[in-house]
Amino acid sequence: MSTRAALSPYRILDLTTERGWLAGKILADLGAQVTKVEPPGGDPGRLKPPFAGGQAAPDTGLRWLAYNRGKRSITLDLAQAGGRELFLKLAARADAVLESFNPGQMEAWGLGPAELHAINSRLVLTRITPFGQTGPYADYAASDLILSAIGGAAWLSGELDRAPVRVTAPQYFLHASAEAAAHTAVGLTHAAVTGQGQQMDVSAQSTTVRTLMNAVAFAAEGTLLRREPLGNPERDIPARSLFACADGYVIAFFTFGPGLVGFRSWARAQGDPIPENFEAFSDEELARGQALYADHPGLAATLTTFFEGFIGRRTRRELLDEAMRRHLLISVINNLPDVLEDDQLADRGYFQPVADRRGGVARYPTRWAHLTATPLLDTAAAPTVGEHNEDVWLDEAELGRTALDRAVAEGVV
Amino acid sequence: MSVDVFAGLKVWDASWAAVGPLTARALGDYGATVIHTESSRSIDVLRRAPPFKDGKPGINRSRFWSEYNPSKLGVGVNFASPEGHAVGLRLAAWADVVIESFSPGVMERLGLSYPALRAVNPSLIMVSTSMNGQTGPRRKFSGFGNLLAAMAGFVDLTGWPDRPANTPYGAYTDFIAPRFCSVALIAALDHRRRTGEGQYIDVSQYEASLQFLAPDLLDAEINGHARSRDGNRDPNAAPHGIFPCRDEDGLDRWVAIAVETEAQWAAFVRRIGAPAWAGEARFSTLEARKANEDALEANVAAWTSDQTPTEVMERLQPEVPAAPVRTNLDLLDDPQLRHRGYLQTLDHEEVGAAVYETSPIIASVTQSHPRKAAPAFGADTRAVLADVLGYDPAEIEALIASGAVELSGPPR
Repeated sequence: MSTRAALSPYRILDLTTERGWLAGKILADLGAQVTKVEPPGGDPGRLKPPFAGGQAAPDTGLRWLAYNRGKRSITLDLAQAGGRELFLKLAARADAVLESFNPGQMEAWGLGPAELHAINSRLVLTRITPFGQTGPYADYAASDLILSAIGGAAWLSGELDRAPVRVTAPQYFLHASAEAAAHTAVGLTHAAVTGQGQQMDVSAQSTTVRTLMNAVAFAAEGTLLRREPLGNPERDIPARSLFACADGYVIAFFTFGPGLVGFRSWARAQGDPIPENFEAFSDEELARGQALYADHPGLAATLTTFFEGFIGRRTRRELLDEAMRRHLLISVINNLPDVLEDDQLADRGYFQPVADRRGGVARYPTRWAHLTATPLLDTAAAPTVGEHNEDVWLDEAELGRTALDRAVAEGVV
Repeated sequence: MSVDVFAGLKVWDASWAAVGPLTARALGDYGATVIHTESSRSIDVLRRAPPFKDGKPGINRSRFWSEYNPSKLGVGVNFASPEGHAVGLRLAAWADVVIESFSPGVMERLGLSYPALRAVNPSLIMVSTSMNGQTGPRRKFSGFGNLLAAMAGFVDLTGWPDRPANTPYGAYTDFIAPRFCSVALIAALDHRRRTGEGQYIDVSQYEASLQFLAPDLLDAEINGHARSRDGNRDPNAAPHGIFPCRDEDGLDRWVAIAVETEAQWAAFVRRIGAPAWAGEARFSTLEARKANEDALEANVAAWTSDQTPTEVMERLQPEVPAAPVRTNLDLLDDPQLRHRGYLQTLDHEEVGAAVYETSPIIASVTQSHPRKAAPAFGADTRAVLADVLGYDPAEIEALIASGAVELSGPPR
């Protein structure tokens, strides 16, 4: 633990299921000492696919490895009275507890906010659930797909002739977890200044709604939004579109920045054939935006055909580099292997080698921010089950060897 | 018992679009004093973006812009002028935190780089948020979250395997990055509280957003497996999809169902009345259901298609994950969002009452919620110059006359 890290004074107990792992990982990146408290045998989420090398094992789950880096691990059976007592011992000297059980589970174990604050009034208790701790849906079962639906995201993605769609890689508990990390940090600061702890109740449904850009504002103004294809350039409004290029796909926007004027300059500079009824307009006319298309039916279709050719003749690399030079809005559509090979990420050291517990080394996505005074830590790989039991129970909780052996024998640790 | 945890914290929000403004808003919602600066020469594109209050365009009427800028004071200032630059230095001297989101290089060109600002305020914290970061061959890449969603892989991961990519709605990554900007900034504030040390924070929205694909990036790195879009399916759950319901007033209606365990499958079969098809061997295990997923989905769709989404949810919950696909209009009436007071109405001097989203968290002590409606352009220019920055009346009139500061924006 580095004193150069922003959150180095803080000790956090992380009880989260996979729904909340990212929160503790972010806080660990910022220097907090995060101790994952797992049930004996390990967090069941360790066995969620995909697995490194395809082999299911407690230390090969890639979701586990991605979101538990930099944490310590101890084991404890919170369902046993002895486990509860030991947990209270740790909570008495912790700054925050993170949990993502269903509402009521912590209370059922006798570890609700009342009990925790009774032994440590400074404690920040951060709770991540699909819908929040109370309310009509609080006890409903959920998942990423369910959040995408009931948080309004799915409705806005996909094509009208098929069902709405989610992002294939699960997203919405991650939004809740990242949000939880920020509010936990607020709670830590408040407790450090005032000595006062509190509960932070995070709703993943609400964090999902927050991703909808302007859709709630449209709703408040009475406008229903519909999903639409990205794939086919719209003949009458070439404003947002996916285009095939020589070696893949890009998306291009023509209505911002230098816009059509800039694209025409590019085409002229490189000797591309420009259709007469595109060339005919002055720069001022081209900058008129939607009004231009309204006044000149057929122009949109002309431009769409032109851009299909212009973009289709160029590579991803040429398009990205030259558009950037000209402040035009083109991005490549990357798949995940493309991202791994991105030279921008390489230049900034985003992927860093991390040695795992199986003797392998893999490049992990690491530095999500660059802080000059308190850099993010290059943390170690996710811990093995109970890797830090002795450190924590003997040295920190001062349990004594005999008591620890008894707890192990009873299946509590 | 409610506490404004950041009362007294001084924030200069020089940012525009979404990521910077939302990061600054989060501090304002916790009680900080946030001064948002803007200039009519480079007006925030969102001020001209729909929806507009009551459908009437106007730079103070955009609900798109105002959603990201409540809890702030609004000051018009043109930093490109020498007098405006001097206002910038006074803001930096006043502030604890500066947040900016211009293309990398712009703050330097304006003479407002971090070294320049730190010279007048040694313990300043400055956050720069940009598409690809402040360094590297693509630092000049400009755009917004729609483009970055494509660059980061979210577009490739959205849609149907037999069709071109679709996309998460809008500028998706603009709603990931603020969460990372906020936690880094709050941690830096805590460090400063303890040590007095300020710092510069460079957040690449690309890098922050890729944290949300970390397991799949590892899958590509370690296993060479490139996950791509697969509709609503999941490799480890079935049925796992969005199914049609009865149309409602001509509007297509849908319900999401996610059966993730064998126990949930047993509950699902029971709750739909144990039809004969559900007992067939081809659906008896996850492996079998994945192998026969088209047929499985057709059977589920046949069951959902004459019900409403709410009927399906109530039939299956709380044992089986199921929920209606909410339209954006539905969100206004969602009972759970309502229970949490997620939407709040605030009064604006020019446009009247408008609905704002609040915080996704409910804190028992440190309350987070919008304190006032977003400011009209330049609404607080005079007050901030006089009361916060200490200009005298004659100086203020001179600044206004020179155009270095602005009391209102362009007409449209």
